[in-house]
Amino acid sequence: VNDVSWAPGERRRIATLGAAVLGAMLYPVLQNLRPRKEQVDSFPLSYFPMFRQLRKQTVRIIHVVGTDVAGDRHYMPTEILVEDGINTTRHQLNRTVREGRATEYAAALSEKVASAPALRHIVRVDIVRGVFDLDACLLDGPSQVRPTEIIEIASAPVADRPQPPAVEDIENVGDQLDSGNNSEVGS
Amino acid sequence: MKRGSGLKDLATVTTAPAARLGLSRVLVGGFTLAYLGLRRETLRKVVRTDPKLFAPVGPVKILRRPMRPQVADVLNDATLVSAALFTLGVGHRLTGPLHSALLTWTASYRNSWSMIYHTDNTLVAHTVVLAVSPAADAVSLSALRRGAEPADHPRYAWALQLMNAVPAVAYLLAGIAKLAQPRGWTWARGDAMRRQVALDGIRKQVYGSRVAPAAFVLYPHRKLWTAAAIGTLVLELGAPVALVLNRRLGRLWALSMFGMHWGVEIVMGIHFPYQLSGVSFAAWLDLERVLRIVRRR
Repeated sequence: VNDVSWAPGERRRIATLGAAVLGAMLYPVLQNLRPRKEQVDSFPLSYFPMFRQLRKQTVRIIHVVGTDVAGDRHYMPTEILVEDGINTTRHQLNRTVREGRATEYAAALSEKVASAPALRHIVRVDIVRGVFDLDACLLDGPSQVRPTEIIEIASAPVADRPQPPAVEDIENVGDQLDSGNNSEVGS
Repeated sequence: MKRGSGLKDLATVTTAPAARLGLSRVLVGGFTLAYLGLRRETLRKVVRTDPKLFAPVGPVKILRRPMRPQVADVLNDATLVSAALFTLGVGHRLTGPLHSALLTWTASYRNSWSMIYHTDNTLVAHTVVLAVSPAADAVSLSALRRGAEPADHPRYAWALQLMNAVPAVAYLLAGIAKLAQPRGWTWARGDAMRRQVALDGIRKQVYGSRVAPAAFVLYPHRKLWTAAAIGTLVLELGAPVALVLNRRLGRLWALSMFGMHWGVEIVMGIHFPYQLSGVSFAAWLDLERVLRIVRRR
């Protein structure tokens, strides 16, 4: 097996390259030893932090809903929201809310809604934080994915469309959401 | 490789045919070409994202603000061209590292808009390995011009072994991350995985996307999640063992990971194109057999 010739220094170069590639890939594991708030993920070298997060029974998700003239809320179709995957949009929306730019985001989205013929019935774009119970959502099928609570964050009216009545009580309004019926949004 | 790739063989260095490494290059390069080609328009949109959302990662950290979209478009297209040259094996000593650098940049730039995807890590690492190895000594336009195929040699085996090690290390880190979460080994009970799948399904629903029906069907069956969690940990933490112990075991491990990714696709609708295509695990196979079959015909 070993009766093969090598160029001068070739084996050393190979060993160095192998050690460098594997060493670089293993290096991010050290992030696990840092305090949680100081951990930083990167690309293409990662310590895969998404697996480190503790998942609770109740989750809060910031998302966008479209409100029609009767005040009913609809999940927005993915084509309006997403350009490079749901997770990108989700992270960008979370960051926008964190940085206090939610109204700006809602306004930009309302312009897209205004130019989407399938969303003629949507008169306002709302950014909300929904509280979801995993069991309640998952045990009864996709049609039951609705929040137990909705917290308003920001809104932007769609230009030149009549506005719905104001929602006085912003708590426990999950039943307002037209859950899981995206086709209706697009109809 | 002529012998198994056990610990003893790692020390004595096994040999492998140049064609096996060459075909690995063709598969990885061809995948990249198709993958980036199909996503060209999406990438054009991504580089035009609101500059306020720019959060550079990896090599892109050298930038304080985004490049002009037109410059990013040119780099994306240059990556496509380099992928074609890399696949054909033209001027590999130059085009290999160039393609590797361009792909690393393009993938990092795509991940520099507030969300890091972990679907392309292995593709980038595999490309780096192929770029710095003699991966165009066979099955390339350059090799066609040279004529005779080089003899089996350890210089081809080490690169293939390193290609197999790359995903093994990535999965090991994923396994360690699961145990590093606050509840440690309790991850094996399956609750964390079950909740993750549920959360992912809800997120898809509220973002108007397709929800994998399997998530709803499987959610009530706790024992199934425990089995899946234990299986995942065994495969991820056992990756290095499979790599060095026995080539047959290594192939079985690769097949299991391939199946796991298809499971993730079906249950969560999370798409890992490189792994689902099988190219991520191709270095485990005796790819040169395909060439022999073709030549016989």
